[in-house]
Amino acid sequence: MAAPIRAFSKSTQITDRGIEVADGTNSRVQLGDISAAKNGSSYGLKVISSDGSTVIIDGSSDMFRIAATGTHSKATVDGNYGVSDVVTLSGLGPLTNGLVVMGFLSSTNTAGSNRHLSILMDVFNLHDLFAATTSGGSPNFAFPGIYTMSEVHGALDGSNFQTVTLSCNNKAAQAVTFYDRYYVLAQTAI
Amino acid sequence: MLAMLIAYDAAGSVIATLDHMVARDEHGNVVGLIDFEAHELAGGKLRDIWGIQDASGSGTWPEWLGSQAHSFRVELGPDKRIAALVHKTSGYRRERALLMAAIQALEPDKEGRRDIRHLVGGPGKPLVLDDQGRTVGLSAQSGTPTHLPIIGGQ
Repeated sequence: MAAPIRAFSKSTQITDRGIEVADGTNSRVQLGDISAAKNGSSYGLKVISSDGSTVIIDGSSDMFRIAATGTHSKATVDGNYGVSDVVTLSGLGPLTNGLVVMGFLSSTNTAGSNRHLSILMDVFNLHDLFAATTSGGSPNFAFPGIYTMSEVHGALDGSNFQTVTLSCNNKAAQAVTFYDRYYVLAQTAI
Repeated sequence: MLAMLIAYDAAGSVIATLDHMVARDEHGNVVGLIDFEAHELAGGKLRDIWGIQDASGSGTWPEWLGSQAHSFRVELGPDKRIAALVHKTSGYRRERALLMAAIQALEPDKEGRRDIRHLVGGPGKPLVLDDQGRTVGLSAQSGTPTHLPIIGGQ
């Protein structure tokens, strides 16, 4: 950065480009004009690693931030296929592109419940079901059968509002309630 | 006051929660969090914030319970706001009026602030409940075992 205008200490200075903090050897934090050309083309916060080279934060990388998070559940009975619950997040306003949706699914609801990322399938043990490998053939081919399956996905609805859909299938011969903790993630610079 | 949103079905069972939602300007930049309770108290429709396919209604609740909220049904007060959560198996009641009284009973600090996290939890930090629906405490924050060395620490 340019020559200091005022020094608060050995390591903190106000310059004609902003504020700079050094560790005695290298510049570590810069606030203000952080453009490489020093022409005011990029303002922000720049954090540099202790070897003076690796930029930790300079606005040129991206991260996901949580725009909304919540839970929803869907009660099902044996024979329900493709039943769903849809959350519409109209408070985020209409969007041009859908945001990233990450869901964590469970068919139980305790603190110790397993949480499955976006898809939860419970299957019969291998060898519980058999099929023929040819039409009309002998059913001697063992395969795993799915008795519940649920999944979470995001989309934009007709008003361009973000939606989160929990879709469930139940052939478990009993009632099953599916639970989802979802995160809606927006990409932003860091 | 920061609050969680709860949606319920025709039987009053909780079927969805919303911990928080960011507010954005016309350029998509985040400018804060939507104040669910202020919108509700002003008579605003919560459909402006969210909609749940199977819900018959929704409202604010001053605690964060995460998916544990799905073990409760709601009771509405005369003002149509959620007045209590009743545990569906134990019958244990979480009353809004009692909770607000407990918050008011806390001694504020020199700047008039009250630390209410142990009473209400927070977004992403739901209260831990037992199987009867009673508060056990805050989500565990045990930290890294102290014998492990740390790079960049103090």
